Amino acid sequence: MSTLIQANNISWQINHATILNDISLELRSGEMLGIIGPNGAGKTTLLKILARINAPFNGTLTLLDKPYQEVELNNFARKIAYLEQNAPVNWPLLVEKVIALGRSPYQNSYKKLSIEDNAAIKKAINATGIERLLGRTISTLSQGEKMLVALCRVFSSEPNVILADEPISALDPYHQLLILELLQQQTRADRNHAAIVVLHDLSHAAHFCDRLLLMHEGKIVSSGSAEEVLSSDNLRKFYKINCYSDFKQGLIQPLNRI
Amino acid sequence: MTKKQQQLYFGLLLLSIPMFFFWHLFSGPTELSVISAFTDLLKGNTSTDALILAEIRLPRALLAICIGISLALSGAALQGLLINPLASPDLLGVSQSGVLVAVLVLYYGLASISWFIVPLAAMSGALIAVAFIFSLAGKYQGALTIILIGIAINAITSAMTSLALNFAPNPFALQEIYFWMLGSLSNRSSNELFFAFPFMLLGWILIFPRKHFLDAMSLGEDTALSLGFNLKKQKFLLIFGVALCTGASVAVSGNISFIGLMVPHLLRPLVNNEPGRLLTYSAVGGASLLLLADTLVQNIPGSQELQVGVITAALGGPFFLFLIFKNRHLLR
Repeated sequence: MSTLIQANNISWQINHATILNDISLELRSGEMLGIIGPNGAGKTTLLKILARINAPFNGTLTLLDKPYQEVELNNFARKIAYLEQNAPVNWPLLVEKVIALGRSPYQNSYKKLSIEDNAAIKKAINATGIERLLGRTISTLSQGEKMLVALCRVFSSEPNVILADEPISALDPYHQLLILELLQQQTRADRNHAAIVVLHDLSHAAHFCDRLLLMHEGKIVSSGSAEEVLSSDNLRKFYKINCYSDFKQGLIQPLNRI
Repeated sequence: MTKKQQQLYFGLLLLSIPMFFFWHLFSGPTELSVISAFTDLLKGNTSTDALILAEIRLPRALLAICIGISLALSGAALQGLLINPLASPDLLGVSQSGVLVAVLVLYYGLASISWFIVPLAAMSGALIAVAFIFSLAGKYQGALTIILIGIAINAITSAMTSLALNFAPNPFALQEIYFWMLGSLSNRSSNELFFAFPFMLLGWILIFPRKHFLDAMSLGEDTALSLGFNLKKQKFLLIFGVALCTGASVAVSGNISFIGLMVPHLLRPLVNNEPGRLLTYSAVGGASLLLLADTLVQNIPGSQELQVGVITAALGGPFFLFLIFKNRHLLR
């Protein structure tokens, strides 16, 4: 198994407040890595740094053993796709236009969509099963449908790595499962694929992710399998809750606050 | 709106440019046989008609086209960049800053040095305003910051322009200053056209290739970045293009309001709200609208010719209100 992304000793500050403190992580090919942690732990900030949206104050980042700053922006965008929280679309665009934007890293100023572009878009539409939404305006879709379109846009980039920030936080159970299944399929589809997903739902994290990182106050406090990371001790210490856990069923049910 | 309808409307819009262009050439205070003037011009005969056509009417019509393109394009680019349908060069105080510097030059009587002093002043005013807005925003270049700074600059420069009006040394200066505030294309010569055109052209060349970038900005800055766009570079080129277009327009015509705000807004339904495609459509629409407005100005009977800026605002404003009223359920 090769390493796709390697982050060493990353830290990040804003207005003298330390948001991330000495974070190191490794994303291996074929895995779906879950990042969990209470609100304000620094999960979104970390994901933005991994997606090269923010530059870290300290530390190094490599993509396939090459430092981030040495990878050309377009090339980087072909390898790593970022799925923003709530996937905002600021103009009422048509669904197919939003999906086509995923091909931006392959286009220059004047080129129209090529045959390869259209093939990738078609493949992404088939994979996410959203043919029925084509021709509709994005503002008329439900939150679940919007997220499917956003995921389809990400798939159409044909990235190696998908970084998804709380992709299921506003969705009904059906769409939660659908989105996570699609992400999981994508990571399994090719040997060079992987995904990092920020999640709040601990059961889904345990069920879908191959490995978990637990963040607390800007640090990674635990990493490993669901059973190791979501131990009752950790949940009490960092989430301040008691849970009923059944890892065979992938079930972690919060019971009460401490 | 179906695709067929969209194409039909765009075709009509394109067709309207040559129509309005010729109507514009036929309009003016003196009766002119445009066709014989054209033949004289081509044969090299220096008849009065040919002279009027070459020195007054053609430059004015061409200026109307170029300024229409520049203002509407600037509006569309700013609206796409700031993801805000309210953005336009007039709202951000860019036009107004150009007007202020031009007015100051007029006020201190520097205009008599050469014909290009006033346009140059207006041009630099617009460029300074843009540089100021974006340097003041610093690294917090969110849409809201930019718009708020722009509104403040608009207020300050408007107030200072009014101040200059209050203290105007003589009625002649007052009239000149009024002209810059209202916007007009009358009495323009080929000098102004040749002065403004290179700047406008450079502005167009900077703005048009940012098409895909503006589309990507619909998904927000973070996602646009993750799609491989160098945000800083793209923004800079786009804003510099807007400054050139607006500056050059204000330099030769004063402050023609509403085109930059209204045209992109009117045409957005024709491009399914895509900010990239909207650039081309706005350019065509702006040219058509300003040609029409300037033709109307010359055909409205009255002792004195109206300022075209008055027409664009007086007709554009209510029409714009009507559109907002009709589509208010679609606005978020």
